Amino acid sequence: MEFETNSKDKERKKLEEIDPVVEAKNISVWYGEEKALENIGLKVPKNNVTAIIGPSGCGKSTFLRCINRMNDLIEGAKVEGKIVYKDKNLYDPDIDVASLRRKIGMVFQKPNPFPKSVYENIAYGPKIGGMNDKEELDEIVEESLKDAALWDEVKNRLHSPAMDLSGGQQQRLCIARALAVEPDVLLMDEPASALDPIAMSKIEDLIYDLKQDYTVIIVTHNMQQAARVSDYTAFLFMGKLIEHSPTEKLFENPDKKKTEDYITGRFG
Amino acid sequence: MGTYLDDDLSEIFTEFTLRKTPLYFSIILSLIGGFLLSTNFSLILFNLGILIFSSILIIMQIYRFIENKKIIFKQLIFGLIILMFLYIPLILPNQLSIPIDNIDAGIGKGFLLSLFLVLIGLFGVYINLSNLDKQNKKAKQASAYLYLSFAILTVLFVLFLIIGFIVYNGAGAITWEFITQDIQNMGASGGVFPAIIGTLLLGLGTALISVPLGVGTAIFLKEYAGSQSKLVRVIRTSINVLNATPSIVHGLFGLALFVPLFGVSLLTGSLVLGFLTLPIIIRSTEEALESVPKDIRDASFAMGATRWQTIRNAVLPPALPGIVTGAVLGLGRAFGETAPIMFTAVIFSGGGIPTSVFDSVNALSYHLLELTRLIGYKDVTQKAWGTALLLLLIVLAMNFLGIRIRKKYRT
Repeated sequence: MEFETNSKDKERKKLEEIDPVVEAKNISVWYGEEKALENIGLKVPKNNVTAIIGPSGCGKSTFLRCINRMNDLIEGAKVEGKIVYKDKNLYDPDIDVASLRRKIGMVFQKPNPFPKSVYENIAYGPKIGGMNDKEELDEIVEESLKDAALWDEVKNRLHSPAMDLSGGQQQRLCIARALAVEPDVLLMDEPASALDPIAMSKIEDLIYDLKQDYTVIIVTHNMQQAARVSDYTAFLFMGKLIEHSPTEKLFENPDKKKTEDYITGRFG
Repeated sequence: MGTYLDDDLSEIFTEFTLRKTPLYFSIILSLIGGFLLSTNFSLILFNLGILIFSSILIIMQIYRFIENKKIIFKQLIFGLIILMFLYIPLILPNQLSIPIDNIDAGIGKGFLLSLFLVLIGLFGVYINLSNLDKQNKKAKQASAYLYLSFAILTVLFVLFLIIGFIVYNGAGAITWEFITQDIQNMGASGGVFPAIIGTLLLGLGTALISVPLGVGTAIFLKEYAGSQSKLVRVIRTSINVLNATPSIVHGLFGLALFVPLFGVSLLTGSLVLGFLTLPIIIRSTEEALESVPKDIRDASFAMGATRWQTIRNAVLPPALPGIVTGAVLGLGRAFGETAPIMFTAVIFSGGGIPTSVFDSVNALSYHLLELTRLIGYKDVTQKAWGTALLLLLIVLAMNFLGIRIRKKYRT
């Protein structure tokens, strides 16, 4: 199978040479008795898109949810190991989870706008952060919507319900909402899997643009998508990290037999 | 897909309606017969005649449709049993209705007989069709459909009978004076103004106590406590017990605990009614919170919101219509209660308008109770019906309000 990788920036540093913005060290996760992840170590380079691929149930989403500690919300989930971000272990007891999540934002599989207006959706994050200045909020809303390539489509209906937007627009709204609190890192959990091909390609273009300002980690089970949008790709299988390399290397010349089997469609 | 199912159902339904028409006839005629029984005894013969006639028709029908002719004997025996049961209402005592002087005592008996016949008819349909079941798969579907439509028809029949009865008897009593004047001569003259005010005040007091407590409890149970924790299970069991407690027990509890503290007063009554409606409010709030998708909570948490910020800004707004509706319906219940307030909050006649929460009040439900006790001693029958209608209207208005709120926020 041929994969079309983004050839614009072929020259990539080797993973050993990069200075990671987020680094997972020996992350293991249990759901009750069941071990979902085992000793994951992963470096996420700054201003790049890192894709996490693997068959269903391999722990991709679980890993993603470790990075902004969304797993805390799942009853019976237990995380061991370290996630280092800005020289701090995110699992240290003195970490303020709420402010951590403002720095590491998240976009979910299914578009999940609040049942409020477009404007209120974007303003949600800044408002709970304590911002009340109307002009500043207006500015943030406009900026975020522009960054998410949605401004032209919604500028005349900022105060109509977000639920009236199409699925693709809703997902870009969710991205804009995540951007409104100015995160460093954006986690995306299969952000285009519930969308039609056109909406999907818009999201992919957007992800490509976002890496100018943000570090993006995207979970996907669509390998073509991973090849198209990402700079680095990690392959997870049965809760273990099998391979992590620059995207074109992983797809064209993988080191591990298992990776090759998966990307050529022999299993999964 | 949808239309296909509908077509299928209507086809089955038509087929079976045609087949079962005689049975429908017998039930409807029995119903009418039962009603007429109260005034004209000879109609019983007519009634029975129709029943026998339609039974024969049914048996003939079934005979045509059923390949296994042995079943017909079962049908015959069943028909005989129906006829035997028919005589039971005839030996019921004549004084089954409420002893209110100007109401025909026979209506109660006629009503009971009608209800009885409907139930027998229902049973008959079930037996008929469950015999057919063995022959025809579609019959299973149709028998369920028939059973359900009979159940709902019975419920509607009783409901409209009750409402119609109260409106018919009470409408004449409701005048401007009745609504605005004081209670005079132990309710025999004047109006029920203090009772209306008292009922509304008790409702308000109940809301002030049960809504904050109930909504708070529900938020704690749903949003804070883990669903598996022991504490939650204990609380939930207690709420169920509270819900199952008879309202008179609530009243006695209030008498023992609050009356020594606050006297027979608006405050005491509100407390007791508040605890009575608490389980309703907790449960409806929990349901409203449950209906808010988990996605929305996740979105809020992922934006860096704390748990309380998430509840306050993301979960409560979409849950609010459900919470308000539950509260309104709970209050509707509180308005109608008599037992919890009879020892704790109300007095009959001469209470007037309370000036503080420590004053006792009049209430429509209790006023109605006392008036019905006075029937035969004083001329209060019409006032009693009027009071009942007024109470019904207030409760219906509350329910209507609840539905309106739900509709308004849903769109």
